[in-house]
Amino acid sequence: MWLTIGIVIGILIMGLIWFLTKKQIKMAWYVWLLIAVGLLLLLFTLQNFFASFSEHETKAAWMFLLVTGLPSIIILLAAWQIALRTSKKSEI
Amino acid sequence: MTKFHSIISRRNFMKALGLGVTGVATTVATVPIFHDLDELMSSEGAAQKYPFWVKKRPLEKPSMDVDYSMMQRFDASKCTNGGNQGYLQYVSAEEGAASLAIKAERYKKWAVEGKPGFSLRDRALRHSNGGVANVPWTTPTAGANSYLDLGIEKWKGTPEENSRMLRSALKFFGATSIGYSEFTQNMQKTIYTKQYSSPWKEHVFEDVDDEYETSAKVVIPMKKHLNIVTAMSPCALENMKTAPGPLSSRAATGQASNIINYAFNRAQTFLAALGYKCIAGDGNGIAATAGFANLSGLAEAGRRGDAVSPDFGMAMRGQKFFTDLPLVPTAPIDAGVWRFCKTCKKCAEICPSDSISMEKEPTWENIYPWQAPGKKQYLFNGLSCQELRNQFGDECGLCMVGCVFSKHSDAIVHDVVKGIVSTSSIFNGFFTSLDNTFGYGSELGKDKNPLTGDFNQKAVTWWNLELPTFGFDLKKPM
Repeated sequence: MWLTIGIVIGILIMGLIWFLTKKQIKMAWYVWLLIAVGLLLLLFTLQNFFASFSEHETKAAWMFLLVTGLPSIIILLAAWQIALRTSKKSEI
Repeated sequence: MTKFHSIISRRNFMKALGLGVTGVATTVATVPIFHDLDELMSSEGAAQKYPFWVKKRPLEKPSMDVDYSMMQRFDASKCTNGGNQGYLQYVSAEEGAASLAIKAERYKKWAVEGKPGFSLRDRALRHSNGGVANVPWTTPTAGANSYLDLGIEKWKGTPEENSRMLRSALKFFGATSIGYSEFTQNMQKTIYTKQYSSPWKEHVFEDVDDEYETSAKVVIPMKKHLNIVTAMSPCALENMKTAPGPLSSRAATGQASNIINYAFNRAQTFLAALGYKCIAGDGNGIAATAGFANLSGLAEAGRRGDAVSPDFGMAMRGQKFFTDLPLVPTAPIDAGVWRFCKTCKKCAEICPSDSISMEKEPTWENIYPWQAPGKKQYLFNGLSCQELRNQFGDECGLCMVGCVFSKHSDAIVHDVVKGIVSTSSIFNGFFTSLDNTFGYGSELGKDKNPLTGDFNQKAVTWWNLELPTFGFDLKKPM
């Protein structure tokens, strides 16, 4: 599972860098930090979500989606929005 | 067409290359290199595996406060759970008869009614466990393929080599955690004066070369320089979650005891063939396993009085044997478990008989005859605990599954929490609340148990689970 996740994340990051280079968008350091934190939290959520099912701890699995999964999505969305607005400003 | 160009300068590239080479060189220089198996056997790296956050303590000084000057040899026949007799010695004949009558009645009634966890198949599984191998007190005579048979000297190795060798052998025979303690004067105080269960033979130290046993006593040979070997096995946690009932505490704990029982049976033959003693006996025999698990670094003390392992919590069982094989003692550990117990109290909260202390601090006070003095411990009402077990028609085990450390090791959150807990106790209360919020532990407890008409449905679903062999999967090197 981790190999697949690693490949998917690698492709996503490569795609993001390719996209940013193509559009000539420069992201601020704190956006990269938000992406890193959001991504780590998302990976932490996924690992604990699936592992909790294999531990037969169903409630814990769903709680991970709520307690760490939701904040990870919010952080990644915030990073996306900040990046989007910053690039629009620089276009103006 | 998009043009790509490198954003790394030649200077930065060379700098990164230099750092990389330095890193590789440092790694190569620090990684131990073994030329053969003998070197591997004698290396410290071959000792019991612990995560980096588990700290080692000085020998004979576990995280629980112990005062060896207060400690006296304990009469284990005073324990409340050493068979019916253990309980009956503290109650009147009428009370005892009534309690055992309820036990027998519920035992049958719930089996006839097929109550979850108490049905015929649950009982059959529970009673199929126990006493798989004969483990006599005396070391067996060295047989074929022993040093005597081959006409060579007995095995000679350094204590480090022997420690590694015995650990490999015991793990091969089925044990999971193995610790060693030197049989010093302090350790002699931990040996029971009498056996834990019937026939309550006396443990006697005698200035002789060889151990022996009569109908009244078992003799420890003090002319030998002895070490105590403690070995533990985890209990099948999915069984424990079916508590209270026969599928949990007796089927799962019996399974773990069986594994160690078998390992010790094999260890007797193994050590005899090498020319050394393996003085064992059955069951909880010579001393409290929880104490030796503490002293040899396999666990810490817990609120309930059982050993609590950072890996398996209370869900484990073990035994001990004496050997004259020279060994290196293993140090007690500090994984923050004992500190955590002071604020957690989950085992006490789940206990339907309120047998486990809710006090914040442990005490030197020793009001119960079934608790040995010399330790700063939590008081435990073994009598009400045993009374409740009788009410349940068999056994309980709720405290064992309630323990926050009784967990599988699949989810990495457990290691993150344990790492923090071992370093600081600031978040202990927060982690206990999270444990409850995330639904760990058991739905059953004080207000919901077979006495209120509620049975654990997990005992029904357990029969359809696809579990690993023996019901536990270590998932990591131990």
